[in-house]
Amino acid sequence: MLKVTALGKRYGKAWAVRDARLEIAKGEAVGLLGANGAGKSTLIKCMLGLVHATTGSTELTGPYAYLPEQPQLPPSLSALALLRFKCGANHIPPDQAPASLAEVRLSAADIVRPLRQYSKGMRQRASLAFALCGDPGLMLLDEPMSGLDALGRAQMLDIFKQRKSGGAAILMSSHIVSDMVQLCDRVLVMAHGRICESVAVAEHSLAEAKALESRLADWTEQQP
Amino acid sequence: MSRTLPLVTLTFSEIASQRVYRILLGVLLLVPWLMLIPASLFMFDIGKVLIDLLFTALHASLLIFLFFMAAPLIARDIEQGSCHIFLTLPMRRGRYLSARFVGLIVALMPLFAAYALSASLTLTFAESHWAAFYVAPHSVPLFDYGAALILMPYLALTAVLFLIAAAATGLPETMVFLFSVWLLCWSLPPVLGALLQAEVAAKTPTWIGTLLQTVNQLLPDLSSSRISLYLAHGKKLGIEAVAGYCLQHLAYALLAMMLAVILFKRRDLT
Repeated sequence: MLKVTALGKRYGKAWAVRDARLEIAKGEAVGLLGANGAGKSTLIKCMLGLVHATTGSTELTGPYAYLPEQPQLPPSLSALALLRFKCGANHIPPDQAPASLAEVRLSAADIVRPLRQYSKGMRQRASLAFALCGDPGLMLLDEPMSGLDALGRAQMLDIFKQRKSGGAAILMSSHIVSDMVQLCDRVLVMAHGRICESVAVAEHSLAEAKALESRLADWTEQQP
Repeated sequence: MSRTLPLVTLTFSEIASQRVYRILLGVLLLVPWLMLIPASLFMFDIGKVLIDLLFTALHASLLIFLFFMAAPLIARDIEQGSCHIFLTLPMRRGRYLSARFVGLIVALMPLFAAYALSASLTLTFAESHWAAFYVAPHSVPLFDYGAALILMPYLALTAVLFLIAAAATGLPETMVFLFSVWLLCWSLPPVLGALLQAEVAAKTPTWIGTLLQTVNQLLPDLSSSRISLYLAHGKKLGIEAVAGYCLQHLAYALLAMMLAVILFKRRDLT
């Protein structure tokens, strides 16, 4: 579903992302774990072509969806209008718009309100619904739990797990190890713009989360 | 094309659902009638004065739309990353910019239509009630014709807005540059006109004139006052002059949009 080869992004003399390589297969969930400034968001934006890569290439197969770290949605529109737009643009049956909004637990009353009236968490849900609409085969999620409370995070994780079991491939960036361990089959540890190592997650346990945290700290403290 | 039309429609909805849009629509229906008050003070020819005032108000309303609705929309899209959700549909950057541009022009049309309708009714009212002070009859078609021609330079200025926004870092930068362009558009033609006078030209270094001419060539020609004056004063405009005027602005808008797309394609959307 996704193949990234030697992807790099340089700003002036500094490399934000260097020689990133990864592949994600159908039904696989991969975590991108890194401290702030490790290059996670830049890497995802390079994959999507929002940021022009200095080196390397990305192959995206089939329909995909992107959930930005801080979703900026048109404030004067309602969530329903926004999703109906996506349905129209991507030839998705229009009844999927309210269904996707219901999936992220936005009420029928909320989905017709202007997005400027939404709380941060509701905006995040609306943005996720926008991403989910149309059943994309690949989901690129940049800090999807940002701004959500514990209940919201659990609900989001459930949705991602359902999509994964339905065959969707997921790439999720985060610096919160516990969320990542619950969902992902393997985690790529990023530091100083590089993917330093790939760690398999077999048991989705707390012990694995602690081990990953320790690996992240080791790589982050090393000199670039 | 399949994604262009939905984005055009969405852009229209996005603008039309703003409160400021509905207020402006109401104001534009009211303004022509308010213009009767200052126009009635010029009892030697109400028609000409009224049309002049209506054209001036139209310029002002088009600027309000451009600065307070169009500029924030496109600058916010690019600066804050609202455009990410459209571009990752996926959608080509050129197509995205073009759809936004067309959507804004479509959103402008109801405002223009409301103003033109209200202004036409006002002119009809003035013509029938103050016939004795009305030198040029049948002013409604003249006004509608002139108002449609006034739209042309604003089409070009909207394209300039996209060109600026494609390269600017955000709304403040976009507004400053757009305001500068608008100011130059208005101020340069009279200065250049003055330079054509022998007395002024003799006292001005040649390079200043050349520089001003060059800058003026780069800007859209907003000084449609000539067109408005001709129409308001009942003078006929040749079809060649009108066609040339329209072509000039359409070509300018197209060129500005092409440059905007080139700049936008090269830009990193962080």
